[in-house]
Amino acid sequence: VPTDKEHINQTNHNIKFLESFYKTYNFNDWSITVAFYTALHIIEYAIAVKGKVNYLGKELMVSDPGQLCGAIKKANLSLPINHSNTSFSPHVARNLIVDENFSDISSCFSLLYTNSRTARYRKYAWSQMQVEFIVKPALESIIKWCNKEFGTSFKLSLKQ
Amino acid sequence: MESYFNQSLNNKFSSYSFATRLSLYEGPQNIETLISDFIKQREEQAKKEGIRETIEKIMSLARKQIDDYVLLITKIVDIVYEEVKRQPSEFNFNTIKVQTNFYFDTHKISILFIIDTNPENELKFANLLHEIEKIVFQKDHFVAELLYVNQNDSNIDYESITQDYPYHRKFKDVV
Repeated sequence: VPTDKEHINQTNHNIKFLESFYKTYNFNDWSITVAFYTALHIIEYAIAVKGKVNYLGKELMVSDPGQLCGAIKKANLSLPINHSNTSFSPHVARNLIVDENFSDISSCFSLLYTNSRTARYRKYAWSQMQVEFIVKPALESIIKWCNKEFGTSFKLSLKQ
Repeated sequence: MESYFNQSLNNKFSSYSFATRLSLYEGPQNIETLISDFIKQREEQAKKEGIRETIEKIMSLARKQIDDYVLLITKIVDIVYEEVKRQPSEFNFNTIKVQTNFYFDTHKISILFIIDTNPENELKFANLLHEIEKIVFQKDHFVAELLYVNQNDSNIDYESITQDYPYHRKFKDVV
């Protein structure tokens, strides 16, 4: 399990990478992927720092999405009906954690998640308008939220 | 006569052990073998009945689970469709196609909506799907993955979509 410091380093690393090519608009397909993984590390940093999350209204000691399944069972709570130990992936756990615990940015994170999942159906061809409307505002919101709620100092500069 | 019979049954003959009672009879076939054969026959019958009952229970449960699962997928799509229709006219979609797949073993819910709209409406639609995902989890305790792809200005890879989501939802002429 990466430490909170490692999540910060990876977030900054991804931000620098995104900034290095975003403004050319030649790699819009990669913008969505890098933006999603940047957001993912921010979320995991937040979970690691809190060290606990709510699931179905009950507080569980979890500092990484991979721990959620075990914590649910330990607390005698039920996994979602259509998930078992094997299918309850960190992606599923992370999305549930974000929805219940980080409601301020859950729609932004969901937007990046769904677009990273469906990028291949667009043949990875993203217009400038699409990344400007989706990638940029969603990631900016998540960064702003983390800086405010967790005192981080992430900086993102995607201005033209 | 009746009281004598009852008394005899209770007092005298019932004191014989089972083995003793059997030894009172002689015939063409050993009576113990006869009884053993009968018990085996009943045992086989009980097994068959038990298996049949178990199969019926499992099949009934499976049918109920499949019914609930397909119903939930259908409900989710209907809710999305109705919500879009309820929106003001500026929230206008040229097309909504719905593709899905069925996972009867895991009950995974993954639905792909193909929309054609401008980026502002795309964001509204994305939020709508996300809200419905949250409701499905809160009310039904199912994780539903509701994805979309906006074909606006994009060259959509329909072949990949139909590979991953082979079932197309019909909205008209549904019986």
